[in-house]
Amino acid sequence: MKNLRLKAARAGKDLSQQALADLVGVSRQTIAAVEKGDYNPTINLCIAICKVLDKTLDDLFWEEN
Amino acid sequence: MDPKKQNIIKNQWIMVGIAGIIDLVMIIAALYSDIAGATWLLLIGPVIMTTILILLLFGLRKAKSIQDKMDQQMLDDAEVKKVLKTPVLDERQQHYYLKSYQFGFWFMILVLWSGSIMVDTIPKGVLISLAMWGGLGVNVSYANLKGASPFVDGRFGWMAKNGKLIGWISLTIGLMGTIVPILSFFWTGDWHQVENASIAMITCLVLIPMGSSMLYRLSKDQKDEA
Repeated sequence: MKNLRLKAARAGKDLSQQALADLVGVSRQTIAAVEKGDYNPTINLCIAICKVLDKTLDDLFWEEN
Repeated sequence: MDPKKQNIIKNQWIMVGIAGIIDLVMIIAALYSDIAGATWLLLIGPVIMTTILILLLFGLRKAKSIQDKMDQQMLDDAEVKKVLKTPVLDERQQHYYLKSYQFGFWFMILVLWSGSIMVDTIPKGVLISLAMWGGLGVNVSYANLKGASPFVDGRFGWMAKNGKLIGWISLTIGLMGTIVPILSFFWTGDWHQVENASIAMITCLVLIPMGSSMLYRLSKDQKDEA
């Protein structure tokens, strides 16, 4: 499932995928894969992304029914 | 990323182990070689490898000091900074990288198993090179396609910068090395020429998916970024 909240939060901070990837310390493809829902990140990566985007885990990764 | 995660001493020991095994194999190969007068030539490899091994062992002390600094969170230290700046495969890339080894291994097993059935029809040399180079081809191509290779990840400096060039070179050599023996067969009608060149042909055949996967991934990334 696509993670549109992550995409929106990234766009809200005016960051490109590459810029976010550089800040988190991963490749651009990894950020793209998480946004597309092709890859389920570990909790460590989720936390790193949340810290950079000033969001909580719930804001970005919690699935609501 | 937590700097403690990078266990430099462990990595150094892994490199020492790998270099040691390669060195041992090279020494045995040189000593048991029956190529007349070439033993001294074959010993050049082990001499170089042993030098690398000794340097790696000396490097352990340095690795320990850097690791200690990292454990003490001395992030302003120049050596620690240098280590932290060095790009490493991220968790997704590591996942696919390991998976690519798995696919390469099973490809090798599949080829060797198929070969054991058709043992009389396929020469041993061809079978082994197909298994080995084919396994490597599957490994590298899958990693490239998933963006888990330094050649397709922009963070890896010159390797990524020259990824396109390396991709084109691999593809060109691969195509030439595969097509030329086949064409020469059609021109000369001599099947032995193809048979003799089969091992080199397999190596070149493997370069085709390696190069094209690199180029495909790079062009896909370029499109995604645009």
